[in-house]
Amino acid sequence: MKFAKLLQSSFQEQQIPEEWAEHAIQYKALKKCLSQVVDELKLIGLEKETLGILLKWQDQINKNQSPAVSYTFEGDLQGFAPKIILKVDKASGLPVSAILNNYKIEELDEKTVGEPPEVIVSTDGPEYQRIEIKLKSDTRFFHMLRSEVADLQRLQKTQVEHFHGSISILAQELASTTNPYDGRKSKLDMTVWRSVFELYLEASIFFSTHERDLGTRTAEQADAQLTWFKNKLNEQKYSDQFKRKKNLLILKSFLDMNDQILKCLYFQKLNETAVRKILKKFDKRTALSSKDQFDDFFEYNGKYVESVSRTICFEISNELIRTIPQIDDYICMICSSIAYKPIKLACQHLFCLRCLVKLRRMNEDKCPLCRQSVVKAADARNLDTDLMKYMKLYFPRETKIKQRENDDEIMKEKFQQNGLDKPCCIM
Amino acid sequence: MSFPKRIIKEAERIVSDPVPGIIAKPHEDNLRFFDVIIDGPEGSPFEGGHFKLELFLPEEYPMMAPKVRFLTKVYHPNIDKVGRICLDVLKNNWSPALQIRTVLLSIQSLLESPNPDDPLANDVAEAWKEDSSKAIATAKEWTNKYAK
Ligand SMILES: [Zn+2]
Ligand SMILES: [Zn+2]
Repeated sequence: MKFAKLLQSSFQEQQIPEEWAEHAIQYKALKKCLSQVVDELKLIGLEKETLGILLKWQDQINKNQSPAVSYTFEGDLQGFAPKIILKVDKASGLPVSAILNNYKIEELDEKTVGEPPEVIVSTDGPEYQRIEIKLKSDTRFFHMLRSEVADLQRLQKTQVEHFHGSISILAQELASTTNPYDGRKSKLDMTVWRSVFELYLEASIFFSTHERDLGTRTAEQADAQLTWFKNKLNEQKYSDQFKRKKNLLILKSFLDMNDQILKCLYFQKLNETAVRKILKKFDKRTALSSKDQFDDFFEYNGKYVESVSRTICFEISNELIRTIPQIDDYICMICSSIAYKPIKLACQHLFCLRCLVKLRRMNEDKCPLCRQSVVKAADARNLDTDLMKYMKLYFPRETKIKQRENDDEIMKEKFQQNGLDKPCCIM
Repeated sequence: MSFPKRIIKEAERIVSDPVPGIIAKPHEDNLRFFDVIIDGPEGSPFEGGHFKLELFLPEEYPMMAPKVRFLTKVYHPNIDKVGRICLDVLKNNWSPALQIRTVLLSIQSLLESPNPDDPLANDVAEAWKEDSSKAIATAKEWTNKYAK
């Protein structure tokens, strides 16, 4: 299938919205423009085959000198113009002068509707002649490509802003429907949301924090992860567990937003491929090498996808997920459970009371995290009562479990002290 | 058998999100035992070797450090004949905030930079100090012989 067609069908397949598709790379138009470049080059005798010979000659003979043929971009981003520079050996009159036929250049006036290419001949040291050729069509081609890319970048910015807006709204709504001060229903829904977000973070849909594959995901990977997340949601029946209907709606919007982000990734990726393809085609049909030039000149590094997912991902975790306090922020680094009851040492590090008691029993004075001598000095005043209330309110289940575990452990220790843990002592 | 939450979490994470060059597999019936394989770091005399270790979490873990031992023979000034390791975080510098993965990373970097001034295997340390290129050659030889 032709790429232009493939692009169209991919847009349909991914259900890319009309208003995005309008900003897509105009691959067909660019291809037409490229044909004009090919024609213009032919007129001055620099068609692909000729240039190809020149380049080969350059590789073989001219290895250590400045290139005999080069293609560069000049000017600033608005008014740039590409030009072909040829270097000709005066004495030997090597291929270049023979091929760039003056007669042909003069003839251009009559043959083309537009202006002929601009040709400037100057001397380059005693041995060489320098010939600069500025085509009209390639200027058009690259200006067109440049404005297409800029247009896409603008769209991308709008998309990111749009997602940013959605995230803020969702966060506000979520805060109002999961406030544990509002009673039992909100409190229960808060714990459901916590599980949903835990799963979401585990899926790391758009950005992986795993050491194995750290970094952004491709659209296909993100697609697979999103599907995994949705399947898990269904398996766990989280949507049935919400007590307040509003939370079900928020979950739906959240899922919709993720679908949109994924679509955005696919869209940007398709366009990136289009840019790569057309540049490759340019090089193939003209024997000029434009790709590296283009990348350098426009600082086009094809990092769209990466920057979108990075930004959005960051906002989702920071603005939205943080609306529901996550257990990871309240973990005791020693026992990996919630740091309940929380003891804040003089160094401001936080551990659960049980672990601190154990540290003291081991005669350890150093804080496990910063190694300052603060453990022995801690007493009842180090219990953070505000945080304790907060934990009970926001993590009712976790604090209860932790309390029970602690009680069990203390009981076991008492038995052991009295030598009652031996089977023969069971009455 | 029931295990503390901390041990369960660490075991899960080290399997699902392994450190590059390190495999640690908990025993199915006892999460306190791990079979470990550390790849010799690139550019070190241990490059290309796969070193087997056993790791055990004592009852007092994490108040006390894990017990780790090389099972593969290694020619290294800080590892002795029976595979014991001289590493500060396994002894005085242990902190309950450290984890299995941080310990294994420290061992990996010990392979990368042997420290003959704080030896456990005295003969190896002496050899290392006297003629380090010869010691490195021996270490490579041992790696080829025992760790492949
Ligand atoms: Zn604790
Ligand atoms: Zn501290």
